[in-house]
Amino acid sequence: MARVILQNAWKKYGKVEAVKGINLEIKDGEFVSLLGPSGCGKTSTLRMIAGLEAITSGEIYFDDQLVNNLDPGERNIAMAFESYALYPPMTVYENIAFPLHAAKLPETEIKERVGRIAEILELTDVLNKYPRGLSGGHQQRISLARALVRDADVYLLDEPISHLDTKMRNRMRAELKRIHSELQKTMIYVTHDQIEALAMADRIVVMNFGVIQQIGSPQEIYFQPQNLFTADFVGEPPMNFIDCRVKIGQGTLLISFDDSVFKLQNKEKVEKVANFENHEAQDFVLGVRPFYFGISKSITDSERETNFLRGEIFAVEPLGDSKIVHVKSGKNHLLVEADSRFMGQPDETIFLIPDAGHLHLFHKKTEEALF
Amino acid sequence: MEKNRNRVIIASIVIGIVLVVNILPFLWLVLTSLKTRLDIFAIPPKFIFDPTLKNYVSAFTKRDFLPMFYNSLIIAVSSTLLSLVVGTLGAYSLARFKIFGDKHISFWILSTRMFPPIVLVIPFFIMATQMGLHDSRFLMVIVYTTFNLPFVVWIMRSFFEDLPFDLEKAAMVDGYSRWDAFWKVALPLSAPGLFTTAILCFIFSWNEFLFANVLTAANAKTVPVGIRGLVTSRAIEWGEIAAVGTLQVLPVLIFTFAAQRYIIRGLTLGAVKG
Repeated sequence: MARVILQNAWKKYGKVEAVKGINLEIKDGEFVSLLGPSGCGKTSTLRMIAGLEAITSGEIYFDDQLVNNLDPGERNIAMAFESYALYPPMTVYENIAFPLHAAKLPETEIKERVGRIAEILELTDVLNKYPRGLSGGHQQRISLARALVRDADVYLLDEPISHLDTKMRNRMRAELKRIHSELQKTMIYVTHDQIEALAMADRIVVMNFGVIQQIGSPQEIYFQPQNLFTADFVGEPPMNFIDCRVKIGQGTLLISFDDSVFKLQNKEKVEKVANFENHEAQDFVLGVRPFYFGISKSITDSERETNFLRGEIFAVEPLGDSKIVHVKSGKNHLLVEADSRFMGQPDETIFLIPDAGHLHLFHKKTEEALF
Repeated sequence: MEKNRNRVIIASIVIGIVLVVNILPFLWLVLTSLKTRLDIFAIPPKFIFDPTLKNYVSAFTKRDFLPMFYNSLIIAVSSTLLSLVVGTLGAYSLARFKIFGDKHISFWILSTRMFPPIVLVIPFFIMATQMGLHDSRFLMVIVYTTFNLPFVVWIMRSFFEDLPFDLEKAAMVDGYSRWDAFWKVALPLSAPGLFTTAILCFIFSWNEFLFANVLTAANAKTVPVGIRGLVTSRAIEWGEIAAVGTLQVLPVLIFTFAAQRYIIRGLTLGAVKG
């Protein structure tokens, strides 16, 4: 059991700066996900925690112990590699038992533990086979089993289920979450898949270009993105962004773009914009998730009083329970998640009504969110 | 179908020619070793005759080939083992550790094979006599190791570079030391490379003539030098040359066949990459 603390951790490969001064505290027993696109520094961060990459500067602590100079083997960590890193000359059983032999456990206990983890990960049938002939899904689960079979302080999982098929992946998400709640161990999970991060993590660390963009619970990351990157990266289909200008008149925030104007009277939000220096001269970006647009073919007079957008249907993608409607509105191409009962033809005129509680406003230049 | 059959026929002919060209000299050697002096010089050549072991017997009774085989074996095996141990460790370091100027070190190691060996004969001879090592098996082991090392380092380095580093990293995360990661993970996976280089080293040391001829006299004399000694001022002992030659080829042949499946490189490497 251990807390993991990174203080101003840097990783440079020659001139390339992979991780630029990360500060992060992971609580004991927490399931934290490092989320970001490829090349964002998440795997480098994980490997620094593992001790596989020397850190260029900064400190890493496990609890109160500085581990900068400890070998990976001395940190009592377990790791599942994205490349599986299975040993071809060994059977599946021997692969999973390999770390237990290093710990010099008695043979009977090794057998029992391998058997138990193999059952959870459905590997019992293949224990006597060699990894070479098995499918990618099997290999990935073997690699996961080899990490989870250990009694480590910190578990590091590098895209452990990215190569599984969708069905297996959904199951493994729940399985992993369950394993975590049973073990109550610190787990750090690297992924580029925002759904995995949202579904499993207690907290998500969103990274890009070697910098932490935002740390927060899945709720916070999804509903209160702090910048354009997080807003854009998290959520499927992605958030709509509309370039806009703002103005405040009589305690109302006016967000204008094309020939539309959105009015917001939420006091807190109005104040945030009012406090933003020189806000009338700045460019802003309005963000609305596809789910928070209402879509209809006509509009009532009372709805005309509030915020709405007029547009034409560009295309409709039925996805079973919902439909993704692409809408052309002025210069903007917007996505709307509509009910499966919505029927629409291309070029038909429709009206979009945003949920006023789920509007996001970002400063275009700094990409920071105002709300 | 027609086209396919033609292709098979052409391939068979080509393979047949290659086989004849390669095997005929060896067959000739073996047949000669079993012939009497008269049969050896018979024209046209005899392919059916009364085989005799006389040549083999005289090679070991009249001539002193037993200690020479012993020398050859000791020298070749020792040099091969020494080259493998030192070379594999060196190759692993070059493949896995960032060392200042490692590219240059690799090239320098290879460059020791670039000049003709005969250039080295005289310096080696002078150094050996001054150190009192002339005509010793130890000297021959050292000399052959200097030639085998670059081989081992280069072949094994590329083998280690092809192995995914994550395998060793996984072992190190799991509590194994760097040495364990090398010994238990990297080395078993590079077995094909190890066998291939071992055979090449053995064949080189086993067959080498030039250095053995200059640097040995009696005590450490190897088989190739001994065979040369059968060309005497009185006569050329073709029967004995063939007999000893046949025995000389045998261990290499056996070794190669035994390790054949390991030599097919990439069997395990491909699987690692999945």
